[in-house]
Amino acid sequence: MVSQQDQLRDYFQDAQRLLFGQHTRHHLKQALSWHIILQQTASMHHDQQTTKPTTSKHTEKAAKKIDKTATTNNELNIFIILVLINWCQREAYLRLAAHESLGLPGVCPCYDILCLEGLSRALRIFLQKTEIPKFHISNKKSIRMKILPNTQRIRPIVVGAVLRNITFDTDSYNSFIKLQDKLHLNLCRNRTLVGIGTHDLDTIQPPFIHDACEPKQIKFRSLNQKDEMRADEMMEFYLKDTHLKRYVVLSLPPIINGDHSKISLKRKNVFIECTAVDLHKANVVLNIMVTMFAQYCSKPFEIESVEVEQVDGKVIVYPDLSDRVQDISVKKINQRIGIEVDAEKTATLLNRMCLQTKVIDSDRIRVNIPVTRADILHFCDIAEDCAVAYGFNNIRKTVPKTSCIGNEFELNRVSDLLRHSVAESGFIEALTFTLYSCPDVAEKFGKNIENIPAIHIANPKTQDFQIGRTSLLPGLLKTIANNQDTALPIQLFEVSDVILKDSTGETGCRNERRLCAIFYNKIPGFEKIHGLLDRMMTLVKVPYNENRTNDKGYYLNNQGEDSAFFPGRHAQVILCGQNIGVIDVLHPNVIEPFV
Amino acid sequence: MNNGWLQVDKSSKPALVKRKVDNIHDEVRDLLKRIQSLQLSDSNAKEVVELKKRKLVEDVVINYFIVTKSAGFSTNISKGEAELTAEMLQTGSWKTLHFKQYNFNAKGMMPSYGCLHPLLKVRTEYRQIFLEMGFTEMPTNNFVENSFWNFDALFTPQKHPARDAQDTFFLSDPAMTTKLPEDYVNKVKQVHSTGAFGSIGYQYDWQLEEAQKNVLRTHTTAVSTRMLYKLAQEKIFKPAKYFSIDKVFRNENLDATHLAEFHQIEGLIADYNLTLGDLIGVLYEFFRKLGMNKLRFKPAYNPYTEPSMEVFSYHEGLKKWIEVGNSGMFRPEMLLPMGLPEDVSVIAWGLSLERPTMILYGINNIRSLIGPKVDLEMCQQNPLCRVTAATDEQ
Repeated sequence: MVSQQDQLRDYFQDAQRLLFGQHTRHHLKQALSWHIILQQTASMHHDQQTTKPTTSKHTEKAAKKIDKTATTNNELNIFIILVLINWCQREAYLRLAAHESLGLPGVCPCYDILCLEGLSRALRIFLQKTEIPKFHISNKKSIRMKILPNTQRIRPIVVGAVLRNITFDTDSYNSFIKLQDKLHLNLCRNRTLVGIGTHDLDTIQPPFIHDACEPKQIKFRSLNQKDEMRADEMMEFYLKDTHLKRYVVLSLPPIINGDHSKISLKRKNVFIECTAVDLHKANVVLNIMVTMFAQYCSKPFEIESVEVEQVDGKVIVYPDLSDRVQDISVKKINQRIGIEVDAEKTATLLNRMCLQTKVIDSDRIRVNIPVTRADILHFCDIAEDCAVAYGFNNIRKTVPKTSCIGNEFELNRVSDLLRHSVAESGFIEALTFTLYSCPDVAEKFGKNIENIPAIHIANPKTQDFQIGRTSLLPGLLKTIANNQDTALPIQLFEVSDVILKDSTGETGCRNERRLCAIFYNKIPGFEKIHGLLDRMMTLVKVPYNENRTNDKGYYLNNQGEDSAFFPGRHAQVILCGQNIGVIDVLHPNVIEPFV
Repeated sequence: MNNGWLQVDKSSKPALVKRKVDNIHDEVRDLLKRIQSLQLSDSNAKEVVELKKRKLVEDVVINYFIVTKSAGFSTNISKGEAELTAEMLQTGSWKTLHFKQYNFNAKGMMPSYGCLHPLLKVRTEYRQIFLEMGFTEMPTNNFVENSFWNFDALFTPQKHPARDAQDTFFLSDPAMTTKLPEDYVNKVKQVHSTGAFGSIGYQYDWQLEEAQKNVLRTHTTAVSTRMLYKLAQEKIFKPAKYFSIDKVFRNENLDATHLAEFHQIEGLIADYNLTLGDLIGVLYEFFRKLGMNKLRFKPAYNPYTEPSMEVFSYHEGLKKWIEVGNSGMFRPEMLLPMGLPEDVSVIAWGLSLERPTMILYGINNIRSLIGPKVDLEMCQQNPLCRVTAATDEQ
C-alpha cells in the first residue's frame, strides 16, 4: 500500500515540474483536494474521504481567479504551493493568505500582498524559487511636477513616479485597478488621506501642476463619462467636496480620474501620482503601486522618478525606494521566539520573508527592509517574520516559570456569593443589556431624561443604544415582557453594573454594582421581595434596626414619593443612615409601557 | 305479498287486495317465538340478520360475574391509605391499614428553585481555571474608557479603522477625559508620531484631543494596560499574571451570533524574557483545562501585539478546526513608554465568553442566551456547567 508520505512526495515532485510549465486543471483540483481534506479532518489521508469534499467559498473564488490567470502568468500556482507549504509544515503561507481573496480578516498592514503579483512574488521568494527583486531608479531625466500654494490648505502633498514601457494585459490591468481600490479603502482611509491617480503618459505633456481653484472654473470629462462637465455640476454628480486642477484636468483627487488620460491596455508609459494630506502614507502608497507592477516594464523593476517642486521652491525627487538597514542580534531573536537558530539559518529565514539579510558575525545580521515592507516598524516585527518562516507550529512549547499566587477581585467574589444566595431563594438570574433607548430609562418611569445621571452615546446605530443604564430595572422588565408564557409567578434577579456620571472619576463616569430582584404575579407580593431583602441582610450580617436610627443596622423609610412607584407602596432602604436602595410596587404607568 | 298470501286484483275499480291462499304459515313469527324462548343459538344466521334489519330483534349483551369470598373478605368497607402518617406510627394502626399503590410512572413535584444564568455559569468555570493557574483578577468594573487607554497606549494609530465611529461607541456626554498622566502621554505621542524606543513609529501627527475622547471600551485590554502601567511604576519589577472576564462594547452590525455588548476573557503574563514558545505552552495548558489538547497556531495581526497568533482547536463533534482565541506578545512600543524594564515581555491571549457557551449548550441565536429575549425556561432547565480537562496525550 502506498503510504501517505509517498503519495505526497510524488505529488510534490510532479508539482515542482509544473511550476515552471503549464499546469492542467486536473492537478489544480488534486492540489485543492489535499488542502480541503486537511482543513476538514486535520489529516491528509485521502482514504478517509467518504464524501466529496466541499471547498469553502473563498477557496473556490481564489481558485477561479488563479485558473483564469494561470495561463498568462506561469508562477501563479498558488494553491499547489499552499498545499506544499502545508505539507512541509510551513505556516508562512497563512501570513500571506491574509489576502482578501482567501477570506481571512485583514486590517493587516501587509500591503505587499494585496495584489496577486505581490502575493505570488512573496510566495516564490518564500519557497526560495526567486531572488528578492532589486528596485532601482532609471537614469532617464525625470518629469516635473509643481505644487501651487492654493493646495496647501486642502491637499498639500503630491508625489509621483513613472513606469516606462509597461505592458498590461486584461488580467494585470484589472489587478492594477483593484490594487488602487484596495489601497484607497484601507490605507488611504477611503481616499481621505491619499488619492491615487494613474494616467497614460503618452496622452499628456509634463510639467504637471497641482492646484486648487473654484469648482465653477473647471471643465472636466471624468473617467468613462461621455461629456465634459463643469466641476460644480460634477460635485453634485459625485456628491463629494474637493478642489480641482485648471488646465487639462487629469484628475480630481480624490474622486475620479480623467477620461482624457485614462489607461487602456497595451499602453506604454504610465504616470502615477498620489495627492495626500499625509506624506508618509503617500510615499507608502506610491511605493507599493510601483514596486508591484514594475515587473511588467520592459526593464523589469526599473522605475522612473518624478521631481516635485514644493511651494517653497525646494525640489524633492520621488519615489524613494531605498531600503532601511537594521542590524539585529541573533540571540535576541532567539530569545523573543524561544528557538535556537544560528546566524546563517536566521538570515535564510528572513530572506524567505522578503527581507534581504546578510550575516555580519555569529550574533549579528544586517537586515535590509525594502519599501514594500512598510509594516516593519521595530525589531519585534523582524522577529515575528523569522518566527513565521520557522513555523509557529514548530516552536517547542515551554511553560513560563512565573510563579504567582492567584487572587479574586473582591467585588466579583462578593457578587458571586450574593448571586448564589438569591438563586437559592428561588429567583432566576437574568443577564441584560447595558445600553438602552432614552424612554426605557426615563420617560417610561415618568422621569425626565435631563435629571438622570446617565451617559449618552454619540453615534448609536439604532435608538436602542442611546444611553447607558442607571438601573437594572428596565432590563428585568423587558425580560418579563418577552417571557409572558412562563408560569407565574416570575421571580427574576440580576447582579451587575450600571453606569453613572461622576465628575470625580477620570473619564467622568463610574460603574456601580447593583442587585435588583423583581417579583411578577397577579398580585404584587411585596412581602416576598421584602423577605428576600431581610434574608440578604442576614447573610451579610446586617441586623434590623427597629428603632429606625441612623447609627447601625437597616430599616425601611417610607417617606418621600417617586413617580415610578405606587403611592404608599414605596420605601427606601436605609443602612447606617445611608440610602442604599429602594423597595416598592411598580406604578401601573410603568408596568404598562414595558409589559 | 312476497310470501304469496295476498294478491292485488286490478280488474275492479278501486283495486282490491284479496286473499290468495287459505292458510298461511308465518315463518317469521315462528322464528321470533323461538328466539324469545332462547331456543335459537346462532345469532348470525341469515334469517336472524334479516330480523335485526327489520328491527324486530336486537342484540343484548349480558355480562355476569361469579363472585366468591377471598381471604380478605370483610363486611366493612375501608379505603386504601394515601400516606403513612405520624399518627399511624403513634397508634400503631399502620400495621393493620391498607395503603394505596404509588404511581411510579408519573413525574415528581418540582421543588421551587431559582437558578443562575447559563453564561455566568460558564464564566465561573473560566474564573476557576485562571485562579487554578495562579492568575489575579483585574478590577474591570469600568465600562467607560478614554481613547488613550483603549487605543493610544496600545500603539493603535489614531486613524485606525477600529477607532471608526462604525466600530466603536463614542460618548456625547461626558465626551472627553481631561485627566491623563502627562509624562506618559508625551512618551506615547512620541512613539506614535516620530518613533522612539527603537521603533520608527507611524509617522503621523498625533492629536491629544483624539486621545481624550471617551468610548465604551472595545476590549478589556484597556484595563490590562492600566495594570501594566501601574506595575511599571513600582520601584522593583515583580512578575505578574492577570486575568479578567467582563463586558466590552462594539458598534458593529448585529446578526444571529453578534451583539453590541459581549464578554471578553483575557489573560496575560508579564515576566523577564518570556518567549513565543512560552505563550504557546501557556495556551496549551489553558485549553487543556477546557478539554482541548489539539491546537494549531496561525499568524494574525493586532496593532498592539507582534507576533500575534490565532489559536485553533480541533472539534471532534464538528470534525473541523475552529478558532478558539487570539493571542500575542505585546509590542515594545506599548511596554517601553510605560517604563517597564527592556527585557520584560508580556504574553497575552483572549477569547469571547459567548462563543464557547453557545457551542457548549448548542444555542444558535445569541439573543436567546443574553438580553431580554432570553428563554427563561431554557435557563431553568440548563444543566450544571462542568468543564472537564483533557487527559494527557501527546
